[in-house]
Amino acid sequence: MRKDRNRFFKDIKQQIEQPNTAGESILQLFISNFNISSDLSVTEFPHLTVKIYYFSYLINKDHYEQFLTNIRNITKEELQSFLNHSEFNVLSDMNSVEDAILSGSGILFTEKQAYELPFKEGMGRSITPSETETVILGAHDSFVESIDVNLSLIRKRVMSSQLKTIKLHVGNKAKRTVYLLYIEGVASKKDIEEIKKRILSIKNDAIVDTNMLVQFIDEHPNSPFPQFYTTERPDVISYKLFDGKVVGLMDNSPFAFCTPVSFFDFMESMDDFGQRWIVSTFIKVTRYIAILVTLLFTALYVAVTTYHYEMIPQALLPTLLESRSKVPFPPVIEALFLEFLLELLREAGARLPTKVGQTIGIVGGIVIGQAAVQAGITSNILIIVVAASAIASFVVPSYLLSASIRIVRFGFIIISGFWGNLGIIFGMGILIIHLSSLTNLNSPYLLPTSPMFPKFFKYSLIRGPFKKKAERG
Amino acid sequence: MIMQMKEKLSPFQASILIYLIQSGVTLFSLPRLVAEAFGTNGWIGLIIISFIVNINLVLIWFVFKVSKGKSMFEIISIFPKWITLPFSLFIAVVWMLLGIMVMVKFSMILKVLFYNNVSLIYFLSMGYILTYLLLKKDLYQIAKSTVVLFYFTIWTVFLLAFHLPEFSFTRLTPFIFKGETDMWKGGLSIFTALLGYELSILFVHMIERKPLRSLLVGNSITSVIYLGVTFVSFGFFSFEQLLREMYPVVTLLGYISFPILERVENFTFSVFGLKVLMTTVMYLWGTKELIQYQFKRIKSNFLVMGILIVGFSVSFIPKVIKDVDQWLTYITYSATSIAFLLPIFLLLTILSSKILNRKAANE
Repeated sequence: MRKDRNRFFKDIKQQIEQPNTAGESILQLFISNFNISSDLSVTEFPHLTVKIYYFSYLINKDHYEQFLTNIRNITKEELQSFLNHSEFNVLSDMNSVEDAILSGSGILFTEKQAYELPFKEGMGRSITPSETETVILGAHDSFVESIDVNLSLIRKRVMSSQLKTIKLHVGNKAKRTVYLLYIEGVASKKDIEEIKKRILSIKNDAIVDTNMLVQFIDEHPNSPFPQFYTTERPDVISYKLFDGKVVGLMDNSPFAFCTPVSFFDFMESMDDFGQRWIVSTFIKVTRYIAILVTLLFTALYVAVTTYHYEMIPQALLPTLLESRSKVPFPPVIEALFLEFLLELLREAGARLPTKVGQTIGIVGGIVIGQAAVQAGITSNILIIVVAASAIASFVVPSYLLSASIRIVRFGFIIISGFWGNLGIIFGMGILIIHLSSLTNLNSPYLLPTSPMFPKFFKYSLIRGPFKKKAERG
Repeated sequence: MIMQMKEKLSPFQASILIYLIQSGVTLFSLPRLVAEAFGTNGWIGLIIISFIVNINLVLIWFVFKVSKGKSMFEIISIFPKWITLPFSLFIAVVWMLLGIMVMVKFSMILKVLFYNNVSLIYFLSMGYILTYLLLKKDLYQIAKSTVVLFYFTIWTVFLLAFHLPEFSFTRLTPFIFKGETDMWKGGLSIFTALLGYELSILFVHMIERKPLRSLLVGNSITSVIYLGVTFVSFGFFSFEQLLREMYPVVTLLGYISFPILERVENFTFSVFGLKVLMTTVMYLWGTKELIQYQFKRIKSNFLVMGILIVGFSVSFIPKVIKDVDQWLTYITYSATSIAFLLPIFLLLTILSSKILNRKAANE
């Protein structure tokens, strides 16, 4: 292994020491690098001593055909002046040849030099509405896997020369392109430098998506909470850019990340901006209540039915007792069982094709709704409680945050089974301490509530009325 | 909206910190203490006490102002360490015991009122785990958590609204400060309910701006809440009843009921635990800072562990609430004297060093 590596470095060293002036040697290197690649196509013109290598599925065939008709008609003497066209880049080393052919260009080798033939095909999915982040009021386009299309979607919205882009490469061998976008004068320089440093320090090749990438660069990898905000929506991203955030795009991923963000960014939907501010504020407050319901409702049921029966009003007590009387398990087991079943249903629904997914819904609904109660495994009231907290968990706009909160909820159920109300408070204490110690790119996670900046409440906690003039901290 | 982390406390954060250090376990018995000390309409006495605290806070601010923003440790660094050692240790021990006993008392009340069969060790372990999680961080991080804990506990104040329908002005009686009163001793015991503000001497220089105002606002939040609770208790219970209630505030909590939940007092009482936690954490933080100053070489994490282990073992010495009260009486007397004497001593130090400096400059 070590020997191999040494040889590899030696090769590279040699390459650097002897610049490839002759196309022949770079061609040899190219052939040896791509030796077992059956999908590599080659077109030869022996009378010109020219070879063109390309991946047929990466290039645009029409452009290529046209190029071939052109080159067929020229003589060996005319070749050099033909290639001096500015559209054909001269590639001086093996790395740039490799990058070019893999990104979809053809490579033309003459006796002396290698040229890049830019026939990139913009293949891929067309722009469709986002399925994970749907809105009612607002734009419906979303990012796709092609980074060029994604950049164009952002450029169309942020029409300013101040929108700056930095191109970075991630990984050791299989380099992936990451673009960092920011608006000059709005985003903080320190943030840009920091995020650049972190991305460049990644030495892992197996990153295939933005949601993976951000896990390599966050500060608290062991926290269940998402720290970088990722989205499929170009309108959200352009809004965040104007807000002074740094945005990252990765090729082959329909997600963009932005930073620095706080907990409250995950509680926002583009719909909030389309609605009247009073309505949006009401909806936002509803979401906070939903988070509390998701976290605590089942736990509170477990605590009350295990330890604190005195907390139930007399009018409600007979109903609860009746529904609990048939159940042979302690409330915590009952609750965990139902919650786990619900998680299974959710996961099955997410993975199955839509047509089969419906069946799961019906089966799950009947089994949970009716049979479980009739069989005496769970109580009616618990089903209402679990269903309410499940619905509440889907109110959270961010899929990432909603998943984290569902996990944390299990912790609360277990701890309330052990220590009742006191356990819930203890859990809440730990959660608060944890959340307030989180940071994203050195910016506190619970900003602007802790540390507190009441001036910014109207932009994050609620959705205040719009101002004609932009205000920034 | 871009804000970078600042390693200074914002004024609001400092106020909340002061409030949460002050607001501790004495709150539950406060209306009775006030009734015992000042007699009828004793809540007026609370205003006087709060005013005295304000004077003390001004004194602390004065230290900050005269020293031109130096921290306490910078001021006392002109003394050799062996001179400051006994004083530091004394203050550290008093603060540590105060922090611990507050938590022990809360746990004991919790056990007596709601969880008779649960061993004290569970409550204390929970408390110490949370304390450790907070204490291992620096003050800025603690303050961040404090603000969130503040949101999480402040709603309990609004529960007082449940008692307003039962409130009657006739119970307040037209007499002021009548009955068997014990102004000195009682007043001191009420003063201890507001203790905790004296820790601000350690962090007043870290407040970003308007330090005096944020200190006073912190004390005002506590005073207003205490005053509200006491006032409502005086109108809710009759005077005689108030004298006989051990923990009138817990009884108040017992009257709250919602349509789907009633007798929520054990839940709300547990929420109060988080306020008590902050009192403990900040006193232990003060202890940590003092010892760290004297022994710079000890690693902060070891120090925290050491303090917590000592604290945990001390927690089991008092057996019943009465023991704890006995301990707390002596400790709070010492803490009260520290609260007044420490700023005065620091002021003297600064002034004398200034005079000495001027003399040296003249010569």
